[in-house]
Amino acid sequence: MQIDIAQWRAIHNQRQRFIYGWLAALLATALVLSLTQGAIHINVFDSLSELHQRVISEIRAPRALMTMATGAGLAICGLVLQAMCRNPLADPGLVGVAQGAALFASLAILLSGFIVISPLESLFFVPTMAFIGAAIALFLLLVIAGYRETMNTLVLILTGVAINAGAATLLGLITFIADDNTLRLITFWQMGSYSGIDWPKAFLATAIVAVAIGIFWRQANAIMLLQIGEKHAEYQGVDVTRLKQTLLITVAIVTAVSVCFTGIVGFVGLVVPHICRMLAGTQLRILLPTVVLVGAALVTFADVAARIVIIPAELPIGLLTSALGVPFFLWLILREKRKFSRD
Amino acid sequence: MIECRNICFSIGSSTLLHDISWSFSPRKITAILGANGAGKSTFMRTLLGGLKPNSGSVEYQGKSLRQWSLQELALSRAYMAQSGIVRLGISVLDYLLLARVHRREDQAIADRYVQDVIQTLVLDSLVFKNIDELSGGEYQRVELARAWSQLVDENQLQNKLLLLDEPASALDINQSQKLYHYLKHFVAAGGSVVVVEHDLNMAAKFCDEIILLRDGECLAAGDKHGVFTEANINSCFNVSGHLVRDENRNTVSFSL
Repeated sequence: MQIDIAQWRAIHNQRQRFIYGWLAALLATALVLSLTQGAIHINVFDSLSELHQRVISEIRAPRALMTMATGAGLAICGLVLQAMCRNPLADPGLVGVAQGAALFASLAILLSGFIVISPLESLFFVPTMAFIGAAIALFLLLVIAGYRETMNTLVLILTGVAINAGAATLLGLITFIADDNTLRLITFWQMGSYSGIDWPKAFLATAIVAVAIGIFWRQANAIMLLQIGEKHAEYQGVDVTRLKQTLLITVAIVTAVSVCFTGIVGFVGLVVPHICRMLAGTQLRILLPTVVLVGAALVTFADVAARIVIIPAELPIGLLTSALGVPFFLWLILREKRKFSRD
Repeated sequence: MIECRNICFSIGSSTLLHDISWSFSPRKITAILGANGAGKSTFMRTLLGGLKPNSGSVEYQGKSLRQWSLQELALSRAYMAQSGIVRLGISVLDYLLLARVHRREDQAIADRYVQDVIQTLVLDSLVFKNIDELSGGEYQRVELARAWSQLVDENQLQNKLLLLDEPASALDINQSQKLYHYLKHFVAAGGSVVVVEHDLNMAAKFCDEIILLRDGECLAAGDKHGVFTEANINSCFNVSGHLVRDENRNTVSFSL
């Protein structure tokens, strides 16, 4: 029997394009809703008043860009963490990386009250601090849980609990010190919110997430080999140490930038890669674009929902994604239960 | 091909390899034999560079392993580990193509080489299967194809090295025999093979040279006719069996 790789690939590509097409349409729908829905309802088919134009160009468009960028960012971080830990339950939020970023970003917000810095400096100050927090949390996670072998789920989750608890304690201390204004800012922000996003923030996040997508795409096949085993990857020519450093730093930066302007939008990194694996399989080069599209669409939809459920007020988006993520997480645990008992 | 000199390797107080020296001949199948825990896999991992010996040196193609980059080594030699079934959820074909990632070549070229390997190893019936659904034996056949796909290039298999750790442990006798025919083919094409084998008779039938390990030491090494003797095997495995010579078919086998 003569096998025909070209034909096989053609069939697969067709299927892939079909999936990407639908997901792009989904994302476009989310984008339109994000621009038109909210406290002020805008009908795009009418001629836009000056107010409506300003609402779109100054508030909703940067906000939509931000939801797409951070949604995609959190989702790809989840995907890469799951591959690196060889564990399907890894997620920047669950393992404490997002909280580490949140802690240091809160610290930055608190410090901004004491030291006078220009708006441009503040645009970089908060993300930089968030990155340091994320990097420390990620470092702790890998040192404690160990990343040489397949990461034991129990150890991974428990380490996440410990890091989260540590971050929560320190956050408590910060909220205790903070004045009323800062306190409100920090509290709201901890539940996640996309209000107050402007173009510079949205552009910064988008640029960083785009670079990260590029890095993960380039390394996708090496990451697949890493998933099989570190020695295995090394014998096939992958510089494992360098690859892991690259991935960790990228994950830390993307988590930081996804968290530092909008607060914690939980469970995206857990839910999205799982949905996508059901849709597109586990081949990373196919999975990555799927995860980007679904992540961006999911968070954009969630933000729209957060804006319209209790008009004119706004629900913190983190509550919404958690409401979606927690049942999903429980279902995952049930599904993985058999594996736990074998560990 | 590989030259090891006075290799010693120990963890804590237990010595796993003691003063092993051997020069692996090119274009031969060399079997490493020994009882459980004799240090076969450890020896192989020092040959790979995955374990650094406490003393002694390993040279590959006249150059110390340390002077090779991971990339260069991956182009020149491939390793098939003893066990550990991969759960990646991808097709066998995608898995084989992953073995060519480090080459940064066109997809069409990778496709062609992998297709050749599939043909050579008669894996047609498995290529579109999900790798998670293979049986142990099927998986071993795919792993050999993976290692093979990693190496083959425009010089075919000239100066390539396959290191296999019990590649036939899950294969039936028919498939084991086929495996060794493929290895013969590999050697005939200019490559070399080092294989850890637990089946003495397979080693005696198909391999050219044999290294016998006992408690981390090299008991005997050399051409199989010199090494595969009753005294050596009995001493190596601490048994008392007999060597049966079949003059008609020109084979020797060991039985208890």
